[in-house]
This record gives sequence, C-alpha cells and structure tokens, in this order.
Amino acid sequence: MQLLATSAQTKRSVPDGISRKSRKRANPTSPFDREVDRIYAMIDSRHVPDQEALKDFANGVAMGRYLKGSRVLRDFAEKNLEIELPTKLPTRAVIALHLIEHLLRADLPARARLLEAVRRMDENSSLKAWSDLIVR
Amino acid sequence: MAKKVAVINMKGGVGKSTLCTNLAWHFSAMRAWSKRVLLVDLDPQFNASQYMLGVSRYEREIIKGSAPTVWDIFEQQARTPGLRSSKRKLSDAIINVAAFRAGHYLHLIPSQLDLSFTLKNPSQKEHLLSNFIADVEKDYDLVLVDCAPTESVLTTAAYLTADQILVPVKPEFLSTIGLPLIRQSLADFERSYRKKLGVAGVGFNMCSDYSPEETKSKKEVRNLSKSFGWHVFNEEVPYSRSFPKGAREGNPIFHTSYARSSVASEVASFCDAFAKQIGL
Repeated sequence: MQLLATSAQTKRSVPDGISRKSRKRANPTSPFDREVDRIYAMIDSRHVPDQEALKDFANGVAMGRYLKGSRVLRDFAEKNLEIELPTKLPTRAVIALHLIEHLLRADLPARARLLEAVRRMDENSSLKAWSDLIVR
Repeated sequence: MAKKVAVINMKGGVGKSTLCTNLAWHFSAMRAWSKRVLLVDLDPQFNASQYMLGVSRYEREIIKGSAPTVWDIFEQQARTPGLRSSKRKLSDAIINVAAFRAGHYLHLIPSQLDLSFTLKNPSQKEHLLSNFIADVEKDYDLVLVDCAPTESVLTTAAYLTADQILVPVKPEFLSTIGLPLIRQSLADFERSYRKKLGVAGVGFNMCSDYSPEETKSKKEVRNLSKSFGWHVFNEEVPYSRSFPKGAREGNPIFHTSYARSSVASEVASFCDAFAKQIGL
C-alpha cells in the first residue's frame, strides 16, 4: 500500500532569500485555491470524458462535501484505492489530489463505479443502519 | 372520551418528563385551551411528580400523608400496607395540582421509587392502570402518561392505557437510536395484545440549532420516521437552561422566572401543533 505524502512534502519550494510577505504578494491566492487549481490542471491535462465529474469529486472532497469525516475518508482511500493515509491527515485538498491521481489510473467504468460508491457512502445513515438491526 | 397519549422514548434523558409536564400545564392553564388534564407519572424516577409537586408537598401528601400513588394502582391486588392502613381509596391517587375558576383543572397521579418493585413482580398487572383510567377518563379531556425509558410491564401498561404515543427525540446520535427501539417495542406490543396504537408524532426536544451533528441527526430522524410512516413535528422545543430552573421552581416554562419569551413561544407552538395532531 502506498503511503500518501503529507502537505509539507507536496509544497512547492521557494527560492532562498524571498520573504514570506513577498511570497504572499506574488501569490495572492490561498494555498487551498492553489491546490485545487493543481488538481483541475491535472484533470484537464488528461483529456478524459468524465472531467466534470472528476472536478466535482475533487472539489467535493477538498471542501468536505464528500467523504465527510476522517473515518469515512480513510475507509474509502484504503479499501477502494489502496492508499494508506498517515495518522496525521494532510489537508483535504492534498488528499483530493492523490485520490484523483489514483482515479485517473483506473478505466472509465471503474472510475464511474467508485464515484457512485462515494455518493452512496455519504447518503448512508448510521441511524438507518442501527434501525435495520433493531427493527425486525 | 379523553385523548390519551403516552409520552415515551426508550432512551433516557431526552426530556420526556419536562415536556410532559409543560404539555399538561399548557393545555390546562392557557386560556385558549382550558382543558381538564390528568398527568400520570409512570416512571419509578418520578421526575414528573417532583416537578409538579415539589419536595414539600410530596413529603407532606405522599410520604407522611400516605397518599396512594401509581404504585398502589399496580399493587392493588396485593393490598399494600399504605393503602390498607390509611383507609384511602385508590381514587385518592389522583392529586389536584391546580383548579381554575372556569372549572377545568390539572390533576396528577404521582409515582414513587417503590414502583420499581412492580418491575420485579410484574405478572398480570399490565391492565390495572388502563382499567383505572377507564373509570376516570370521563372527567378529563386529556390524559398524558409520562413513561419510563426502559421496556417493562410499565411500558405495556402505558400502551394499554393510551390511544396514541408521542416520541420526544433529542437530536444527537445515541438519543436518536431510541426511535427504532420504540418502533420495535410498539410492533411487539401490537402483535401480542392485538391493539393498534396511533403515533401522534416525533418531536425534536432540547434543540440548539447550531451544530452540524444536530442537523445530521434531525435529517436522519426525519428520513427514518418517514420510512415508519410517522409524522415529525416541524415545531421544535429548544434547549434552554430555564427548563431545569422551571423544574426546580415547579413552574411551567411560560411561568419560569427569567425564561425568555421566545422559548415559551416555541414550546407553545409545539403544544398547539401537538393538539392539532391528536385532535384535541
């Protein structure tokens, strides 16, 4: 199982001697926006037919709309994509980047099934699961 | 015929007694309603009795006065010492909490911790409360039964007494699991006793409204209730520190000192919606 990199390792390196203020002035967008832009750029570069679905998925994971909660996120990454997440999770945008990388390696039907599994995972209700056990 | 509603949830701490007491006060004391209300405290923890009577009156009338309680109704065939020695009738278990000039009133059948004795010897006692209520219900417009959270002979007694149930739910994960437990409890009862009980609805209680977990719990409860065919009240009872204050004072929320009028208003909205749902 591949160990997912942390956000520190994926940060772009900055030449020595440039102050934090200058760096911020040169890059007015937030780190989150930059990470999401990287994901979109990667998806656009592959010219796949389900680009919009993948962008929606990436944005949803990064924003916390999909795979809510670290437990759900870990389960999905480990069971479906064989990615081992570190104990201290990186940012969701970084996780989304690596999920997209792995999704892009899968073929179109497999990718569609995985995205559907994500949608169903977030609709599942813990209360409904308990109710199904209790009510005969 | 009185409307008879059991307020029940298999999860404790969801605010059944507080809600029950405020419902009773609302329909008896509010001029728009002015109903004759009987509240039956069916919980060995006797929170509703504590709320309604307070410690002084409880000590005076129940402990020292040997007034019968709901326990005596269940143990009437055993001739409990208190009932025999004080030569009190079983109907003396009904205590007058408030009487209003227009002629309506609020009565209580109190409980006591010894009711748990009935749980240890439950056989053939489940009909005794419903028989007692059948004899007195002509004097009331509404009978509310505050139930204990655990499945027992007292639950069966409540089901036999009531026509409908109201399920208060606190919107947090473990509390919401009380919902399928009630569903199964009701199904088991209906199968065993061949009596169909209505579900007045599921009411959200102790709501704070600013937690994502609460929003998620409410959504799950709504979906599950819909699958059961149960109504969920849109009106919600908010969390407020004034409720325990009111219990200490022995006052309903609309009379509790320093309680916000918005809280009382939301409780009133819920009560009115509840009345509409049960046809009061």
